[in-house]
Amino acid sequence: METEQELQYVVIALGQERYGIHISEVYEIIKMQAITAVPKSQPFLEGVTNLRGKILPVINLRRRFKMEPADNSKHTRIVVAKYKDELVGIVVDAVEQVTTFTEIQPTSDTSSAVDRHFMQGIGLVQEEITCVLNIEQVLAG
Amino acid sequence: MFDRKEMMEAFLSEVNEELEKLEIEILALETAGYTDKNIQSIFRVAHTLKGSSAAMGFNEMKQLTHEMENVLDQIRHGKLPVTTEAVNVLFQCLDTLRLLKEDIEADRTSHTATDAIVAELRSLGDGGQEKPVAVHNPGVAEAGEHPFEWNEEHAAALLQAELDGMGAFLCRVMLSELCEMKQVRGHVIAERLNAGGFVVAVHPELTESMEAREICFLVASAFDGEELQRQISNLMDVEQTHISGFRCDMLRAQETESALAPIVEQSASASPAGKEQDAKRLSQTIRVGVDRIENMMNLVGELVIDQTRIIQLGNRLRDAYPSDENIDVLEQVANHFTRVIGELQESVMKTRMLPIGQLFNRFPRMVRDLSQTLRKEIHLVMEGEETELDRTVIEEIGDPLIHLLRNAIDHGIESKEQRLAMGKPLVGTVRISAAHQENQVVLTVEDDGAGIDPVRMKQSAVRKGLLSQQAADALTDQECIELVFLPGFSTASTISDVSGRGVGMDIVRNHIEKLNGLIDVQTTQGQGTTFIIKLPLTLAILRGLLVKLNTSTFALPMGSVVEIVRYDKRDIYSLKGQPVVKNREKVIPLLWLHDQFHIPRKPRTRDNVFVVIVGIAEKRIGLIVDELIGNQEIVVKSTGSYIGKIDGVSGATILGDGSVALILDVTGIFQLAGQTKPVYIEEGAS
Repeated sequence: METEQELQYVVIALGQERYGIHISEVYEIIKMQAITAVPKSQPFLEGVTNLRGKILPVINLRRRFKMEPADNSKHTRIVVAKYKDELVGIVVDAVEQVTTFTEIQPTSDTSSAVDRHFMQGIGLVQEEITCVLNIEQVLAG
Repeated sequence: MFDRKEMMEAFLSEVNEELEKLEIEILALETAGYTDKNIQSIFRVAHTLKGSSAAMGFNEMKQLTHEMENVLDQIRHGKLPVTTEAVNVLFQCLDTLRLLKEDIEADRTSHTATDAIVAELRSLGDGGQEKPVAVHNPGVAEAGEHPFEWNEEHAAALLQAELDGMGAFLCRVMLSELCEMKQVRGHVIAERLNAGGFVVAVHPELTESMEAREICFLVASAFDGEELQRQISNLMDVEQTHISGFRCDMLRAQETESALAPIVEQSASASPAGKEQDAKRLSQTIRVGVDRIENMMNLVGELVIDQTRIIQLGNRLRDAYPSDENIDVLEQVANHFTRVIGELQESVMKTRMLPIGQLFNRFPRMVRDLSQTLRKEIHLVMEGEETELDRTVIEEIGDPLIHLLRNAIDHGIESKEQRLAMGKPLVGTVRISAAHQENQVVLTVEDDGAGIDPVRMKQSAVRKGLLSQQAADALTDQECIELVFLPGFSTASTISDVSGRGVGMDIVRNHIEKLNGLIDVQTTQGQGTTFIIKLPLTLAILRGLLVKLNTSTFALPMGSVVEIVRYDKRDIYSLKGQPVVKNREKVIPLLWLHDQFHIPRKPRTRDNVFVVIVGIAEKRIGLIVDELIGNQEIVVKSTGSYIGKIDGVSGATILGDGSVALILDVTGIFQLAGQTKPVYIEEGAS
């Protein structure tokens, strides 16, 4: 039981790429909503939004990974993750599913265009492989 | 079981209160001289502290207060004169008690040495005679006279009781001197007296702060006097009882007499009596943890936001379905909701309010010590102690006020010789006052000292390299005076350890600006200086002016908005590349916040622009905005540590439509304007 939960990941989409975020790091997933830009802040910070009366900072994962910007669609979601003692939102193209990986392998040279230090490893399930994100690194300034 | 932590908290807050009382009373002892009431109060503080510290097992405190009691008892009985020496020792006691309290707060034990002060108390005590054994027992007052005034209700109750076959009695009860919680004791007695009837009236009222030893009960009872006496005489702490019959007309009789009798008493103690009454009314309180109130405040904040949203939703529905009756109902409910939330918000805000007197109480002692060190005689006047301010504001404003006071005494008030030469009264006056003014609190610190000399200010600033001679020459007198707020500026030619500690007026100003406040200075040479501080009542909710920069909405704290003006484009001049406007004979620089915040400037279709002139202290700057939305209450929220500090932004708020608007920080905006001048000149020219 415990091992099963340990391998549960939320799979998100960013263009053609798929990434896994460990389920314990995800606080909730909300639909895209109005975000207020914050001037003079980190370039990948999308802004702040209202999460039930609290101010939630939101980052843009595409910008974080230096990918081409994309328009919001009806699939665009904000993954609210726990970071230190705060909640931080992450804008992603879509949230696909929750998967249980059969195995996590350490990162080797991958085809992903994304910086290796954002990765925690490679999740395997059946034929598919998914990059597992190191949320701490992704969110760190 | 008792919760040790809770007891400790209760103990510490009691000690705090008692020490504050002690300080006030000792100061009164020194300034107003010996009065019975005053010495009694000091005695009572010592006694209370002795009791509670003994209960908590803090021996040093117990021993010290015990010795204080001995000395005070001698003073009380006229066996020891109130000398300066005695007052000084009492002050030392107060300081030592404070240290002990801090020890206890820090690590739950007391280790400050008390031997020296105890020895001093003893040697002081030896000056008097042996400790008296018996405490004088003022007898129960004669029957016939009583403290109750004519009161229709009481009279009616007595008459009714008479009809019901009950008798009326006047019960005087003398409580033991050592009785703690006299209020509770009073209630227990009243309960006993209720057994055969009911208590019609009590004098004095049984409040928490009731200090009188003698309590009078007006009782209607089926019992006779003897039976009543039996009911209460065996109670704990009851020293003496006296019960006499009472007739309703005795109430009336007193009324006619009262025209004459009380005058004598009143003239003796007119104002203190009134103050005591106030104090009694105020002290009917419960203690609530700060975090609970903070939590309530947060919840109310969310309600305020939701309420605005509901109203906006109602408006939208009204537009969509103009004739739907359900929307009428919705609007009614929403309006009621708004009213209730408004009141709720106000009462929660009020619970966070404290009288600023709590802070002012710290000053007399400080001024006393300071005037001794500097050998200046200072008369401190405090006004508006009852002015209420948000807890957080009071906490934050303490240090700046202390600094201003120290400055006024050290630099403002001249030495005695100088004052004599100027033909001024030898005693310098420092006045500190607080008052409400609309939605703000105005604090002033005023001295009748030498005032600030603009020429000396200018010279000093140039000498210190803070200003070029050229720039200094261009300054007006008022601008010269405002140089005191410049970082690294201090006018006293010698640094005293009183106010020359490297904490300058610039820190004071920064502090006040952090609270969304303003500070101004006015001075007349030879006559004195006044610092005026304006502060918002609270930090949690403020009135904000909502403005739009292109499509983004921002909130400006109303407190820093000086004026909103519409300018024709032709009225904007360029001064050395800096866009400026003329406003009331003053040249005001303009700032395109758009450029600072990387927001595209909106293409202008009209010939005029809105300029919001904001100010802190004497500085003014005009912000060009694209649209004015209006002003409303906004709930201040932190943007959190993930985002961290952003220049020009102090926080965020949630608007009626649920979106987030950033709150602009005017101090930060001035800094932005200072730092990045070249950027906007370039863009302004394009």
